[in-house]
Amino acid sequence: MSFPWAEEYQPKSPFMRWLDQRLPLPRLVFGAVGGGYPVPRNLNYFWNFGVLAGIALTIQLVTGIVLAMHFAPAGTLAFDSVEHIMRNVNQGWLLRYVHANGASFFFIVTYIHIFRGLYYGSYKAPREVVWFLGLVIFLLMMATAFMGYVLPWGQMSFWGAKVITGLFGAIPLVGEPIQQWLLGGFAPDNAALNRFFSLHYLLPFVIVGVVILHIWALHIPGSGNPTGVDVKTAQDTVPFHPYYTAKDGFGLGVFLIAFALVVFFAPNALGHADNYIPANPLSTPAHIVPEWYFWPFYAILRAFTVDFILPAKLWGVIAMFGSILLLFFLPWLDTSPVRSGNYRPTFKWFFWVLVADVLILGYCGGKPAEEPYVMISQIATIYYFAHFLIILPVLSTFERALPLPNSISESVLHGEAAEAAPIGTGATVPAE
Amino acid sequence: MDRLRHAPAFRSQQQDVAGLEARLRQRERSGGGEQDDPSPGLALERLPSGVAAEVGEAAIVHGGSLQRPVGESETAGLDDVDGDPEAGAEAQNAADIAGLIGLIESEAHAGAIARRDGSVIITQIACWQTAPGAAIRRPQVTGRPPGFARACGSCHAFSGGTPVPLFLEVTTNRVMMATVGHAEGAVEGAPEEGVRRRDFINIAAVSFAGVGAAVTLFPLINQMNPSADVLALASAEVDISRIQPGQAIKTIWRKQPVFIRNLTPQEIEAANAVPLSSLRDPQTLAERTKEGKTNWLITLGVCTHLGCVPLGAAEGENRGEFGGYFCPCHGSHYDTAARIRKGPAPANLEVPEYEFTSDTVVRIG
Amino acid sequence: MVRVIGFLVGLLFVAVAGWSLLWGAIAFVSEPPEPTVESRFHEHPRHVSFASDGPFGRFDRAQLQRGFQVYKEVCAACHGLRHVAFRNLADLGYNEAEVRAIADQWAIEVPDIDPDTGEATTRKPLPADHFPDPYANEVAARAANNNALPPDLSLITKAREGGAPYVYSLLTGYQNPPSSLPAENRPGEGLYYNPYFANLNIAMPPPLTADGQVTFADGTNATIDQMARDVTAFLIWTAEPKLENRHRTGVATLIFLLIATLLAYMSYRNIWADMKGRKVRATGPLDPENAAKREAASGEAGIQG
Repeated sequence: MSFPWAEEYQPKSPFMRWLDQRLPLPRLVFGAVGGGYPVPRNLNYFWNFGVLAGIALTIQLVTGIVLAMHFAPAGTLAFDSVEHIMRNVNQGWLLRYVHANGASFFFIVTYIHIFRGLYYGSYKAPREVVWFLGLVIFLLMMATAFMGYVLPWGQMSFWGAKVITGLFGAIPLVGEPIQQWLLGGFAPDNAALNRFFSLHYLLPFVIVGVVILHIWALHIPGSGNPTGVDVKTAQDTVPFHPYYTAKDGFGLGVFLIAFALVVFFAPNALGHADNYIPANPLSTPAHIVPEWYFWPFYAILRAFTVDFILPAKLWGVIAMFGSILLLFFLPWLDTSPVRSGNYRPTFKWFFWVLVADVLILGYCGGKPAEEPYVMISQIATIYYFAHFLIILPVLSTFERALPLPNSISESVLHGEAAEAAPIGTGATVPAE
Repeated sequence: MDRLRHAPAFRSQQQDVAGLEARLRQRERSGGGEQDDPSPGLALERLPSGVAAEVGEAAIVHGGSLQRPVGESETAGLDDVDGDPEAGAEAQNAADIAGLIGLIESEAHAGAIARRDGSVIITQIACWQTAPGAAIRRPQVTGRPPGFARACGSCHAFSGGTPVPLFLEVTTNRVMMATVGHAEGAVEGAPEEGVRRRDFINIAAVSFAGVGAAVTLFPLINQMNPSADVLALASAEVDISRIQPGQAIKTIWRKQPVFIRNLTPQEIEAANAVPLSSLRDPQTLAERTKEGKTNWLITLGVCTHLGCVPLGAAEGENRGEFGGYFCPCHGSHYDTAARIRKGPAPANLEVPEYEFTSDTVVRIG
Repeated sequence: MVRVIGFLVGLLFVAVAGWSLLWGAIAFVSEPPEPTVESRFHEHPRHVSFASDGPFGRFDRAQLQRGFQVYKEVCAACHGLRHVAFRNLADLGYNEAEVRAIADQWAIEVPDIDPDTGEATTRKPLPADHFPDPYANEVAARAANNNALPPDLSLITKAREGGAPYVYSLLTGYQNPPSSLPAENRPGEGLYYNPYFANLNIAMPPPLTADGQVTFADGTNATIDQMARDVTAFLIWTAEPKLENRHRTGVATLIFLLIATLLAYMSYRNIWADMKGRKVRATGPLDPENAAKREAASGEAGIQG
């Protein structure tokens, strides 16, 4: 950590001193989330979502491990084993609903976390690697969630697996062999279910590892803040503990209230009724849709309806993966030296258009592939790619940003009104 | 409202004390002002009347080497960004104060109120505990007299020209205080307005959350207990009408083998003839069967030594030296009442709970 | 460099998507999609409320028992309930003896093996058994039902869009097809018109045909509507026997969380009290000594501020 005023770890008891001498874990924790990690004092509630994502991951891990004690990953047994969990296992219904809805909440929290990063320029230097690791986590999350949804072996599980593995078949030349390699067969069956279970159990631990790297990479420059202005002095920061442990505790309470409302009073609202029908390879559901958190990508996938040199299906696949992969290049697409959207009025406007665009894409992704949803998806897809690949680069060249405050403390001291007109150096401004 | 208080003297032990002088010029809005100067050393003024309503008391803390009386000489206001060490400092303290003032000047802007006349009033100073050469640590106390005054005595300071690591915490509604970096030595009295984290509300919140965490643990552990369907199979009904005297069947109850044997009169007699004193696990046949149904011997088929399934229930199996059951694993012999007679097993074959729901059906468990 | 390539890639995607949009728009304008017959005549489920609705909902056990009776006498001949065990009926208020009697007297027997010959046979159900399927397998089920497969009812209220109201509306929704219904959508042989069903024509004949079809043990008047309500309530239970636990635990959890969050908020405000509520003005840059160094480092990184 590069903050010279960061508090040094002092063991509080003889035992902690003994442990710290042998394995500096207490020191590490202290420096990472304790009193030894200075954090900008002006963080708003959008900074709570990283920790909430970590907590959602923990909830999924714990409930998942416990569910795995009862789940049977075989085609003939899977559906019934889930019902066994719901009906017979002690508090099994609770574990299942927490795990299923926990995935949704994990994505809600992660999406807000990502959009916070987009708005406040968290992907910019020196935090590019933090951003990359975050995107890797996101990709791993999507893979894990997709495989997890297949496990109950309901109609949507089966047909969703069929559609998504079918996408690989769209790759020219090597597509079909890859698809069969993935499935271990010609259609999702026992082989696919078993391997998805194995990988679904494994990947979350890989996610944990990448999360550790993500936090480590963040702690080198330290956390960003809503002004985008670097930390300069001790005035600008407060120690993580107890200031942000308290704030995160409160945020956790709010998160758990929302979570409990869904788990206990609307546990199937985010799911699809068809997944309560056992998988039937001979009967296709009326509308195959993935879980809601994949809907924006599903809309992009289905937006390409006309061949253009390449088959439309392949364009859809390329665009769907491309929509995430282009985010890796964001630090070099958006080269504005100003980080925070608070000081970039034009960027801010486009940002909100992007948010609306993604919400529209999500809405269309959950609808059947009929007009007018297809046309709306197409317009929204056009904007999505234009936003990142055309608008942002152009903007960062021609934009005129608002003047930044000299420091975090200044912006804090001045309050919001004065942020736009910070104190220049050397000027003496009589106050009040 | 003009109240100045003295801080207790510190017990200095070191010589290299940096003294800080914070002098403020005050001009009341109503004009005129007064400053008490009860003792040499540091004094702070109260805030201008406009802010006074919110302000607590001022306090004075002295250090051993403070020499400048308050308010006596003209000094530069603390908003003098130049940090001119000459401004108002006595020569001998120049080197120390230079750094201090410089720092205070810069920090003053974080913890100060700038007034119309351009001067700045420090609203809050916190005392940072450090050891010479050590990293700067979080303030141990933030100013709120009289607790601050008492606790402040444990301030340390760097030596050798390094600026005193004093930082101003910015708060309104607080008293203006200046700390003096000085020698080590604690002052008596614990901070009564101590560190925030010991406040009751924090303890309450953490405890409540802890209770929640403990309750959350319950379903995670309880889910491993037998599920409802397993408990439902805790009873098994067996039709025994086909078992002839001298025959036995093996059945399953709670996923374990159960031997149901229809004893012949000779076997019953042999069982009753055994003196109890010779048994490792003394039990009569009557104790191990139901009244009026002493010919029905129902036991678990699990050897009490290490859990193998003994032989003897099926036709042609070795029944051991005592005509009952024989466990081939380590040579335990059971008699016609399934009592251990020879071998390492410590106890008789277990008789589960059962009842005859009719003459031909027995329910186990 | 990245921006140039990105720009071109962006143009490419915009162009390809635009191409699809163009053709889609042309198609939309030249042959606007017509609403299907199904969407014109299909009706959304009617509103109906059950005792188990809402965050404080609980089952009405008398209703559940009536619903079970309807299931037993009307539905069980064709529809299985494989995820429910006879012992679960204790939730409905039956005692152990009654449960054993229900299991023992159940019309369909459980597959078993003859202990002497090893041949497949059947035996009377025990309480621990699940409700046996009325048909040995799907082929047998279709053969007996005009090639239609009567779905298992254990999860039906969760497995259909519209849930319990849909099931209720379906049961009470059988009617003569309206005269405006096109000929090709009229129910053919073995199909019956029901506007609540997505395809309008369902293979199941109306199961509830007359009032008094079932004689309720508690004497409630068995109108079609009443029977439909009761069996639907029963099916809500079969789909989610733990509903009451869920509601009860949920209320307790939410109360706990509200208090805990309030305490957490108060603790947060307490800890931040000395950081917030400042009314101070700065008059110059902080830490002027290191300002030059900072500016240099930021400049290198290309970050302003």
